[in-house]
Amino acid sequence: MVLGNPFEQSSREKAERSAQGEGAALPFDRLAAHVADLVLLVPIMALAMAPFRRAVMEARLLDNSFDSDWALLQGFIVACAVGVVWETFFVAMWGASPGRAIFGLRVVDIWTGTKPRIFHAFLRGLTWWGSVLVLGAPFFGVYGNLKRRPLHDRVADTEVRSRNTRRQSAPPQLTELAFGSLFTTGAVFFASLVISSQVVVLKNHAKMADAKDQPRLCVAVSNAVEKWETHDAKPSRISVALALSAAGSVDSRCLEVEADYALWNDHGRLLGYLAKGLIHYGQDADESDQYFAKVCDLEPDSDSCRIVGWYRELSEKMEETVEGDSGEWVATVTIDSSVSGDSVDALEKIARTLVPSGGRGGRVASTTPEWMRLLVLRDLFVHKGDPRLILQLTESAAKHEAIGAKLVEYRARALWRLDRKQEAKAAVYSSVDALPRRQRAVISSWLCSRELYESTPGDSCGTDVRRACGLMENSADEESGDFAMPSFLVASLRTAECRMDSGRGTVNALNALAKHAEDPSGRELFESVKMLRTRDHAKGLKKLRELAATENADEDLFVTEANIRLVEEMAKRPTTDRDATLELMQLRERWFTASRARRYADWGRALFGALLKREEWSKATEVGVLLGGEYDSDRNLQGRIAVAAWKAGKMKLAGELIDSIEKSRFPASLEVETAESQPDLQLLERIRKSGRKP
Amino acid sequence: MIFPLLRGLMWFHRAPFTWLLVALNVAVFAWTFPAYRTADAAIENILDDDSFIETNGLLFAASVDRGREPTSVRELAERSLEGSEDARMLLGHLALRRADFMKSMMKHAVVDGFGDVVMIDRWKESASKLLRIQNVHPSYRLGLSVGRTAPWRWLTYQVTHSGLMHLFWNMIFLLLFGTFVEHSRGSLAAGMTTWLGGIGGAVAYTALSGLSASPLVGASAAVSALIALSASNTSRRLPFVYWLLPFRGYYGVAWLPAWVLIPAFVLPDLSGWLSAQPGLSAVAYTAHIGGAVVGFAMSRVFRERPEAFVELAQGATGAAASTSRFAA
Repeated sequence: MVLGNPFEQSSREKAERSAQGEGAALPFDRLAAHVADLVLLVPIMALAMAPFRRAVMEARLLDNSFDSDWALLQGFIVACAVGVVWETFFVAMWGASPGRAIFGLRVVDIWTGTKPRIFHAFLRGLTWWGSVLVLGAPFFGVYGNLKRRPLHDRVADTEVRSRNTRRQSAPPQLTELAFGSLFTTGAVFFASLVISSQVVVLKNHAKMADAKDQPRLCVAVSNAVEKWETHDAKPSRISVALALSAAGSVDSRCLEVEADYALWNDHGRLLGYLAKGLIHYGQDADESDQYFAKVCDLEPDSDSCRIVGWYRELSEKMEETVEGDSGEWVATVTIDSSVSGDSVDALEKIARTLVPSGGRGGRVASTTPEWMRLLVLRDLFVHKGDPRLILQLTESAAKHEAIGAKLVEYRARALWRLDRKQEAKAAVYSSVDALPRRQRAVISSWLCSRELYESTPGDSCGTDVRRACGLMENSADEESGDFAMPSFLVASLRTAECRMDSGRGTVNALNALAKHAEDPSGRELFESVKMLRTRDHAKGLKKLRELAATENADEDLFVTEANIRLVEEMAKRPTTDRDATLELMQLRERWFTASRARRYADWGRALFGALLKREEWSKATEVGVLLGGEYDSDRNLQGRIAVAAWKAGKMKLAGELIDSIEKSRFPASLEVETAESQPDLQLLERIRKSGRKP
Repeated sequence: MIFPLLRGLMWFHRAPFTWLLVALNVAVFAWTFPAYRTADAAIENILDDDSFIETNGLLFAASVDRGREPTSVRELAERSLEGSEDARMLLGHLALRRADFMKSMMKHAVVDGFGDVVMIDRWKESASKLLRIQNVHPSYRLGLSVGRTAPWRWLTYQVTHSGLMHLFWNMIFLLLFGTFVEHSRGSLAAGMTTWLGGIGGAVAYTALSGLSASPLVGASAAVSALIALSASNTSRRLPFVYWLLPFRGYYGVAWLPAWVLIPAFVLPDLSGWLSAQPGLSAVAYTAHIGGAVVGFAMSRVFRERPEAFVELAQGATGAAASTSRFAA
């Protein structure tokens, strides 16, 4: 800081004498002079900042906020430097910048009364631009003393005078005192504000700089490629991406990124086209077909072309299904079955070549590309292919970390379908600890649901249920959003009810769970169940009916659960209750018309049981036949369907069902709960042999 | 805020050439407007298709000679091929302006060489449609672009505009400075400066920025030439209307040196050019600079008529007198 010599009072008096007729400039004159300066200064600043503005634009194009902010800061510093040079030059040369000259103002040294020396002018300019940085707070110093000298004037020992005697004024003393205190406080406040905001910005920039080095391609694929162990060389990214996609470990966006990378960088065009075809499959038939066609154009004899052939065949049949849908449930379901039936045969044929014991055409498992094995596995699973094949494929698949969880799930579900429920449970319980947490929650909620829905009547809250659902509750993590999964909530709701029934829980448990339901349908389900379990039973039933009748909710698990619960409620009523029977018939129609009725097997199973109880043999048989595909290995259920068919007078169907049960070995015992009797092996044998109506 | 007053707009009898030129611009715009609107809507329709732009970006990324491109384009190309949708979209738009990019992509056999052939086939359909529309779009028919450089285009581009606002602002400045130049230096000076300024602007644009697939249109270069000519006499003072603060005494009219027009109107073009990303700016800064150079050169050929400034002072003194501190 430049300090004037306080002892040179005579010099100062001399300076004041030399400025006869001049006085302190009006603040607005000074401000207007600066604005006038900016007319010339801003274009010059813009010119000096041009390279930095270009860098800012470039960084923004590349979405690089760190480089953008850095270039902006550099440009700002350069602009300030231009401003300092402007001030220094004009003030040192003429004592006034162009704007001040226009308004008749001049900057003078307080000791000499003449224009300041170059160093003082520089110091003044530097402080002036420093004051701009703290949002101009120090400028209020013009009101803080009688000479109207703000910070930059004090630092440089200068003051601004006006030649125009009519435009001079000093502030009143009270104003001087008030503004003096205010501007000091303001300056400190703003300075701390600016500094703290800059610290935050710099911290964020440090984080951004780290993020810059992150890979741009799909991270999950990059990680998996590193760890992928194969018998041959390092696998291509696209083959790993396809495998992960089939295992549900990456989404379609990730697969698309990898497919584009493969196609546009020539890193596996064949699989690139296959991936693109799969991405569009089911959404845009033309587009997926074009991509599939490219696969077979490139290599007609490849594995990719074989699997593509199956997809194309399936999509053709699905189109036929849509065209052939007459609106009648029977037509829809029949066509749907035929699509799955034929197509699954073709898929199973491919699958047999991928397992070591595939017989003719089978090959050593290690030569099968992992992506193909997983794709076939997934599609077999989705289209209810032979669970034995699914099991074989899961056993021959390489146990990569990224797909392990899916393999466990496929294996457990296949075993369950084969009615090897104990092995399925063993598969889950033995591997669940090694699975990623999310997968653990998914598979345990599946097992809990199976135990809840398929437990023997009267034991719906037994040991198995408690164990499976306990595992689910321990695996799910509230903070990670597992509690919001519909499958978790529905299974937890039933588990909580089990606890309440055994006197170990209260309705508060339902309230706690209901908080996690994000969908309105989920909240309504919880609300209606709470009402059913309290005095508002009628209201709860009404609410349940409203939820169950929700249209276009085929995918909504909560709506399905509402329908199942309605069926259960009606089944509880006496068989003589005609209203209940009527409602059951309505629920049956709804199940038939649901576009994916076969998926709602639990709903159908509940319906079948209720109709059987009411001795609605023919109607129960229709439901049972549809359920048969889903539970083809469940000999108990198949036996009950055979009984229903026999009672309904459908001898041929009953006989066929018994034959198919025989093929898969007779069960040791059959528990068919009907109002009339408990059919056993002898009864089934009678059905098989009889050609008469009972 | 400061703006040259120049005694406002002088009427037809004082500046017939300028008014005729404005009429010509408006007539051309009115004549081409229906075709312009239809073609623009059709182009917009194609460009709204993200898939087309993405493929355009991918094709550009895969085919561009990266060694000759600036860092930003190199980086965008790399990101495009690594799955960044934003980079593809940016590059796709940039590629639309690249000279002959689409035509060469259409001609060369990209099929089965690289890339996603299904996407490329679809892109080809849209690209050929786009090229067909460009053939009938007024801006392409009258403007200057790659492959469209016939001698008459160097004049017609100056009277063609890419929208109502583009026409409006160019005409405002043309009237303001055109009438002033015509009044102070004569109709021939105004005429020569306008047309030669436009040609000089196009030459500078071609030399410094290079013609692109997007057409160069508008009277901006001619206007720049007129502004430069108005600012060329450094000893001349001109009336400017100013507004510094919203208080009495801080707004009004002031006589300031003519050169003030240079930092206010010419310098921003220079900084605009230096700060713009090559090929990405919608403003042809280099054409403005070229026009300004012609304008300065014209000041050597066409001298001012001193009597014009006497008239100007008489006309403007009433307003100027309101601010006593400024000496005329």
